[in-house]
Amino acid sequence: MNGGREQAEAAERQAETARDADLVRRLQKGDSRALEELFRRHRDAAYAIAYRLLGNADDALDVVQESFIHVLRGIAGFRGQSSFRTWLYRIVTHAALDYRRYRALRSSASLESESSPEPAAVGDRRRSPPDETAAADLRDAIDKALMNVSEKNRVALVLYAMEGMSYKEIGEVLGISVGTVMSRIFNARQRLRELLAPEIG
Amino acid sequence: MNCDDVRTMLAGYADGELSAVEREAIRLHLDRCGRCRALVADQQRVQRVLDSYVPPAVPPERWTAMRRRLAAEAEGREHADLVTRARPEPFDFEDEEPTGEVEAPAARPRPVVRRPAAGPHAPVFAPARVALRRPRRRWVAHAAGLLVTAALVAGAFWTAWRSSEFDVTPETLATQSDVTIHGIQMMDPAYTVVLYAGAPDDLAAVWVEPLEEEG
Repeated sequence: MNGGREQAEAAERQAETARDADLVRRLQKGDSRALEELFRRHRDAAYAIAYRLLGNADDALDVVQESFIHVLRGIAGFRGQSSFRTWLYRIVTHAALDYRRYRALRSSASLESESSPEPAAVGDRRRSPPDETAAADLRDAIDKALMNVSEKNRVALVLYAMEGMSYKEIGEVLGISVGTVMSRIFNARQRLRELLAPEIG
Repeated sequence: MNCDDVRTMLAGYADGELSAVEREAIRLHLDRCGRCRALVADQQRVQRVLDSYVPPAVPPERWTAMRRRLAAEAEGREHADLVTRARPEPFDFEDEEPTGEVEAPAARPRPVVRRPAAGPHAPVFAPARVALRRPRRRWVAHAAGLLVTAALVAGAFWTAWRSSEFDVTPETLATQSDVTIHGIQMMDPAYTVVLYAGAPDDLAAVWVEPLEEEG
């Protein structure tokens, strides 16, 4: 039963990959509608990765936009050696990490001259209903904890947390072995276990 | 297998990412090791929490604005809508995004980046926030960028010509030339040009970008 479901999921993933490859070919021929569809298909996942790496929705959206612009500019040189998804996630991951370092540089440079802007979520928390506020509180706790996991381990775990991303794919995105992916994810979760002890129990 | 051997494989075991042989080896260890069983349970518990965690929803208009930005980028044209918006505005085309799920946010003011002074990462994000409103000024900026490019390229050719004419060695080349081009980079379709010049430890950058409309 389980095997049947896994087979169906594998077939679906394969079809999705083929669909992406087709869109990439169209985009390489100058069909901008293909970019739009690629954007539609992958923007949520790109946002989720960026958000989990940055812990801020506005920053994550900036990174998503820049990543797709990067895709557009680099599509002519994309040879399909990895899947489009893997390529995109690699771009998003590196863009998010770059962005984080860049913001850190900027905030340290402006520490004395101006106060840092208040971090804000996309939705205004003060207008959220109580149940959403509780969910947002848990999210804040996880965001905070994630930021205290080492960058290497956090990236591996965040990519795993994306739907359907296998250790092998993560290894391709990060250019590391499956064994390294495994140990980074293990270490990241153990660290989160310590940091989220009050929430997890 | 002892605990150290299996420890880093416990994540793979918890996630079903091991081969059948590896899985069986770990299972045999877990049968007789309560500590590693507890670690597997911890891994699964943390993962369940992460699975239930979703980033805050994105207002549809933010996606729409981004899609328009990409469409403009794809068409190789710039217009006023390229500016990252401080507030959502009505769009003049049919919007197929779902609406009504999330109230439009009062976005916090975003810092405007103008110069790559903060390091090599700045140019990646700066162009998206450059407002281009006057085509005439854009052309002025394009022309200025091209002139600077031409000047530096000419300098490089001059250096090469002189070095071949006077048969100087690479060591003395630096003293006869003020400028060595290390790279020219087109940062975005707005013809922002970044030129790196100078000796390896005397790096200089020229950043040319269109001016914003005043007032």
